[in-house]
Amino acid sequence: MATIKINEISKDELLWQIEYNSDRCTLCGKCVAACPFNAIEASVEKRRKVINEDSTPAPKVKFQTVPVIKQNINIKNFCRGCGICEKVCPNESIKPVRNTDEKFAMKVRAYTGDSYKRGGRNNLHTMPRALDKIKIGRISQMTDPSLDAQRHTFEMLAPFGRVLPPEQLPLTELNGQLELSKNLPPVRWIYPIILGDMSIGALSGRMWEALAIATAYMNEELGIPIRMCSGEGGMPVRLMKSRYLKYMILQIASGHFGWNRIINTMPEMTEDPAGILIKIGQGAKPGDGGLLQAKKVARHIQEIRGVPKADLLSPPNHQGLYSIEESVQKMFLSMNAAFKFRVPVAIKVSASVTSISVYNNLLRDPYNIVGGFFLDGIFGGTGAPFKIKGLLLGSSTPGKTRTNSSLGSRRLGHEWESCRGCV
Amino acid sequence: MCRIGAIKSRKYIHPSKALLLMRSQQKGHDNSGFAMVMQDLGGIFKDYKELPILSMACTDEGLNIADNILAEEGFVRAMQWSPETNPDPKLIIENMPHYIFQVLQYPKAFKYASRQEKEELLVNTRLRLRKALEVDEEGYVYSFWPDVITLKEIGDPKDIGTYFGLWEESENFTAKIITAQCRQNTNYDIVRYAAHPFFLQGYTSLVNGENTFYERNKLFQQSLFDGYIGFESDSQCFLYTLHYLNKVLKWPLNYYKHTITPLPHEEITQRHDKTVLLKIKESLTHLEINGPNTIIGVLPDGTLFTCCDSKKLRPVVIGYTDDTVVITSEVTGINEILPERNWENDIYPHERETVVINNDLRVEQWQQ
Repeated sequence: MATIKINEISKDELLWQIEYNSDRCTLCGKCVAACPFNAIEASVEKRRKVINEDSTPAPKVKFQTVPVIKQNINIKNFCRGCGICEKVCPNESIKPVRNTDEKFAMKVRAYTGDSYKRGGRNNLHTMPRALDKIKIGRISQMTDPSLDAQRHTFEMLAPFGRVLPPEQLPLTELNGQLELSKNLPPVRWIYPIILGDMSIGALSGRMWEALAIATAYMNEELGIPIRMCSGEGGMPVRLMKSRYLKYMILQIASGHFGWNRIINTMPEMTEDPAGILIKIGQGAKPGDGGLLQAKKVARHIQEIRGVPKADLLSPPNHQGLYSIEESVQKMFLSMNAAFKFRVPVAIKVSASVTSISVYNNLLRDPYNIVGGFFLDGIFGGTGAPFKIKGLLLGSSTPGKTRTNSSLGSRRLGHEWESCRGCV
Repeated sequence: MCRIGAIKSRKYIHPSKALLLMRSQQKGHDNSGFAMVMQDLGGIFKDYKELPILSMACTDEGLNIADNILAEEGFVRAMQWSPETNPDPKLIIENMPHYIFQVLQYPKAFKYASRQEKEELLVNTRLRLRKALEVDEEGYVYSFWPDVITLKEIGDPKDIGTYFGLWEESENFTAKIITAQCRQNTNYDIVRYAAHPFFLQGYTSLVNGENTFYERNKLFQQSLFDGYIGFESDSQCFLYTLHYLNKVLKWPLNYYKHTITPLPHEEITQRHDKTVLLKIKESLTHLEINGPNTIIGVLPDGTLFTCCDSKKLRPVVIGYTDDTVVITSEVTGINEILPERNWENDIYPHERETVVINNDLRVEQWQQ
């Protein structure tokens, strides 16, 4: 008699279910060999078959043991839906199918004793996202002549930094020309894309470095001035000393992870960073603070953070701060002063009922030193909620790297090695 | 496409010149209305230079409403003039019962008021009148300002001219600056307010074009000044930007072009005045325009100018003699009223140019 454990994970709870057609399968084994997650394996099944060997009807029941491809059902070797099995199959006999009723995230927590959390992590359903709704079409069908993107050039640059209302600009007229009579807060003209604040720990060393290289490449080779935010947790010293620092926004969050190193490296910096981002709240995990999975807090991550031999929670709020006014005093002034008021210092909060109050308070700052206001949607710009990272990164290699490291498989060790190399 | 025109002269000129200027340029939808603003007035208004003139079209009830509000504010009538009309059922015109041009004396309480206080009073009174008349569409207030008259009507410009007797030259009704257009705005509902030229506190503008940044301009402008209302036409945005820069921020006129069509970023960074230009671009990005546009503007001191969108997608030409300058969409119009000029001196401005005509009729070409 079959038995099940009450909390044991079952196929209907998985994110992806393998649809396998044994009639078409030639048992070549390519899918099993190719699966990066060991989510399928060769197995056998007992089959009941009714056959007739006589010339007149004389059905007989025959039991057979047949070789099949079977999905592994456990929280480690689950199918991520990458579809590599479908790609390598010569006979269209296997493919992953998304399970819209999955309960995987919940199940993993129950299984590992992790409590259910508030915030963005309950994103269990696939919904259309803002990015899906952006349409770039014809500019105007009403104009004469009609305008389109080819005939009409557009300025894609946007200011990052404190932009003053026109009446506050310290402009004075001299012989018909306007002149600035005072210094103004720093403003960078950038392409309106900032790669989201994903730390080395949240991504992986390799992935993070690839993004940083891509950012520099876009700037230096393609002339597209995007910027990248480090995420909380610090940055490789080599990068901080390089001229590519000017494309990076350094993040400081409640844990102040990595700032010991940043401050120690400051005398050796040859360029100013693109900006400083003070993270007060994050849409992906509002109220929880950031907490990397225990296994991801490897030695190199501890080193970059400047917190050796310890697994640490990035607390939900900045411990030294009791009010927004105080945050202006302490954080904005000190961060601005640290870079001699040459670098825009921005703030990030999650989209919540208090966002507007925070914004209003910051606007009142008399020194014009708040260089930006970043608002995280509830699902975050960070890719931290499980579903988001799956959907945004798709099911190919980046997702694989990430998920692997988060679950501590064998490949993890390899990844740490390469990561240490880049630090 | 709207055709727009402006005449500035040393001598007082009659509106028939404006009708002649525009008529030869008419095409397509261009027969849907006529609008003009006359500034620096001669004739019967010549002796009232300092007093505000109310330009209004209204019904009997509208006249009552307006009189009551003006009396309540303390304005006293100094002179009133209504054009003699020639009603004829054959004329294509959607006329209003009354066309009022009323010269008023400032309220007694404003006897020692500063110029700015008086200017604010005029704008607020006009907004109040407009609001009150809007309720039952009892009337339209086009301008309320010293030395300025505005006339707008829906119909065939030729017939509108006949209705108001504008074809016959007369020394009673003249001005040194006349801006005009022969069209209603056909993209939207026919609204009397939607016809150029637009006027606000001494600033006039006419625009031939479509401003595809209308919504962006509008949302920003609405927060800047009480008088920035209406927005019946996307071209009003050009007037409000001009007023905001020159009147509110007190910036010289050459920054108008830098604001509505900033230079490409790379070019700005090469210039010696890049810090100022970048700050303007940062802070006034919502006043940038887009789409094909030619702008003609008049400043309170009588300076006349024209400039274009950053691609020069709409035509404009400037022709002049010793005592008259004409800016208009097509050269045929200038040939009509200045046939004797040296056409070799005509200016066809390019996309980076602002052409400015001073009060001594000196024509200057400014480069952005």
